[in-house]
Amino acid sequence: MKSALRLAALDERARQLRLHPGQALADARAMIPALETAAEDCTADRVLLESLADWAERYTPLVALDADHGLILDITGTAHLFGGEEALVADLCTRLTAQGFFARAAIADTPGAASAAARFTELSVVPAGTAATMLAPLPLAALRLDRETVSAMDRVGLKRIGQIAALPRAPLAARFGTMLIRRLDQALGLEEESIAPRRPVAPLSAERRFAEPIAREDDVAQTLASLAATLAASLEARGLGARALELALFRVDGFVARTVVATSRPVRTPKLVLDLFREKFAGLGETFDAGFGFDVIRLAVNATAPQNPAQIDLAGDADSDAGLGQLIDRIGARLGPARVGRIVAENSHIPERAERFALAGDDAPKENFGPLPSFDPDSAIDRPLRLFTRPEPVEAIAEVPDGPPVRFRWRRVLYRVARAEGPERIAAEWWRNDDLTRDYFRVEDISGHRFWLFREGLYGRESLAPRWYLHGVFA
Amino acid sequence: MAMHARASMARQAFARLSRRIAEIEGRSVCLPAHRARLPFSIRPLDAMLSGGLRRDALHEIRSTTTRDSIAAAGFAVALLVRLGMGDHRPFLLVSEADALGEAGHPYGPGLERFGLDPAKLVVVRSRRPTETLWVFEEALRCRALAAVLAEIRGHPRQLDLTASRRLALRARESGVMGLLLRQAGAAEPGVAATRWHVAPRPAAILDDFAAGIGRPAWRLALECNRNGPTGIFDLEWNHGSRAFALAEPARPALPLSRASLSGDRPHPSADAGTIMAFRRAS
Repeated sequence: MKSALRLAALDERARQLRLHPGQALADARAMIPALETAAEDCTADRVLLESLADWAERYTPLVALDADHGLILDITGTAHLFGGEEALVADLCTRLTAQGFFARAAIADTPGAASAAARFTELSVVPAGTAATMLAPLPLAALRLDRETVSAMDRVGLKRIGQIAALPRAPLAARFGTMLIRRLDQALGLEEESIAPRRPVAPLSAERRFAEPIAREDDVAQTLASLAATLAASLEARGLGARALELALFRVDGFVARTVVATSRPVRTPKLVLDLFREKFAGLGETFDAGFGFDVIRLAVNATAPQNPAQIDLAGDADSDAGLGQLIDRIGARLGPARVGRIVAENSHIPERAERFALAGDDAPKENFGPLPSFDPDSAIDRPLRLFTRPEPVEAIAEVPDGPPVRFRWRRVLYRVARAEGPERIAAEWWRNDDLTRDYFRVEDISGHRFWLFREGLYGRESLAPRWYLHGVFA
Repeated sequence: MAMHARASMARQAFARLSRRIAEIEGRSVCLPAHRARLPFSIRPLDAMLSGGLRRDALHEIRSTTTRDSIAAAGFAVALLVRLGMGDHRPFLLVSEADALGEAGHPYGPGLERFGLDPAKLVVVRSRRPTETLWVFEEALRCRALAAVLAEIRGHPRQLDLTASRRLALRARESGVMGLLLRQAGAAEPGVAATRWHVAPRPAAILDDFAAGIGRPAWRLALECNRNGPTGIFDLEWNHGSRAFALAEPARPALPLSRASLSGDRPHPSADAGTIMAFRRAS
């Protein structure tokens, strides 16, 4: 790379004045003294391109970023929704121009041909099968090759695509690399190329377009209800229910708002779906900023699970299990899915690891709390009702080496121990070399408060100054 | 055969219609009489409560300090265990983040030892009083639950008289028992059917082992009872038989005392007690 300031991009007027990208700034200034320049900001450019890609999803969910400030959209099967391919391109360019961009768009059979047509020709639609003739007069840069290959071929005299299309392939590949042949085949349609969309494509989605953008919350809710009804029919036909739903609201000015709702059980009833979204919006607490209105609303199902048709018993009562599931989903939508769950057992003798908070949507097999071999209903309760996630350090006075605490200070209050039971020795797992053994004591103070304290480290053998902690409280 | 089917369908239709009429009239859903109240099986207490705690009502349990809050929580869990003996529906527990931070989180093995199967518990952790209130209200409307236990700290502004009235109304409509557990709460008027104050008490003696810590015991004060008198009871909880019992009067607890090694020096401290005799080791 030669160390000179070069032009990275030009606007229409600069292009008309015969400047080209890659030209040295000094030369350009010499030609046009009154040239206005701005430093290239790649990050900002990329952010803008990504927001444009979000906006472009109104045409199709298959949108990918293309090199050099471009987007590739796979519009297979969607052109008829816009009145034909010409109309789609016209609509796209009109909207982009209205947003202030200078845009060129082209439709072709393959991504390679479309990219070349958009950048190097004035065509908007390349008729099917004419890619080869369209590409022939174009320079080699139209094949999405890197600069070294292009300049290497230029030195040998190969400047147009038409020239290399006729040449034998093996020597070309040997001289300039296999990428050249691949790009040529991809552009001509001889090799299959699919674009990698930015976001995973939802298996099922329904959308509504508005000629007149809507902005009121009630209208959006009504649209959501009808979209949910459409999806319910498709889901029912396949015997599936939705586990994750995404609502995308496309604003007229280009901004896209997305909301995702996850459920622990498959749902497809439109009313339940509407309730979940309502709770989610209420929980977010943001005011509904519709800008100038939404002109496309899309509801997509991101994840599904098998769901049998709802059983209704003779009396017509709803399934009560479903009622609890629905409550859990609504709480998860409103507070966040990580806040609802159940307590399940884990196989560990370390107290804080003997249980786990399993989230509502967690499908992993759950162990039940079976009675431990040593638990006898007539004996005293040996585990506290509440546990502190992090054991709280206390200052304790205890008889060495193994005695229970006599007095201890916790949260600045002094407790005098009246009765103590223990120790229950819980050693660390044998594969953890640095953890210390704990001796747990159940203590009760003179007022009747009952605590679960432990001394960390055996006196003398593991630690010279073992520390005391409070791990839980008994009822 | 056809007659039996028709008769049973007619009965179900009749049950559905009578429930609908009860809903329209605003009466609580007709619970079978023996399920309408939760008895303690302790005669004086049940007599005060006219048979037991009302299942379709809101009850408040408070403790004065955070230190004592575990006693209130234990009493609440014991009530859930008693409910669970006759009713197989799950419970919902909603705790505020403040309350969990101060007093620890419910511990699965501990709950199980106490008598409550953690698989029957749906646990919700909320951040703010508004969220807690919303979850409490929505859960009280869900008939698939047997009871809802909400744990809050102090007296948040959002839980005012209107909010409590609304909660009591939901409980009455659905028949789901609402238990409001206040950590470090002061006595204040409210709409709960009963209000309890719980303080810890030395545990009962088990099997005459005087130095051992026996069954959990609390001093309960029924501060406010809509339909009857109030009183103070010392209760203990038997996790094996899952029943309450009146606790024996507490023996004065002696702090663990050890003779100090320096007892033979002049001016021993008062904590050391009276040194009777000493035999030196060496």
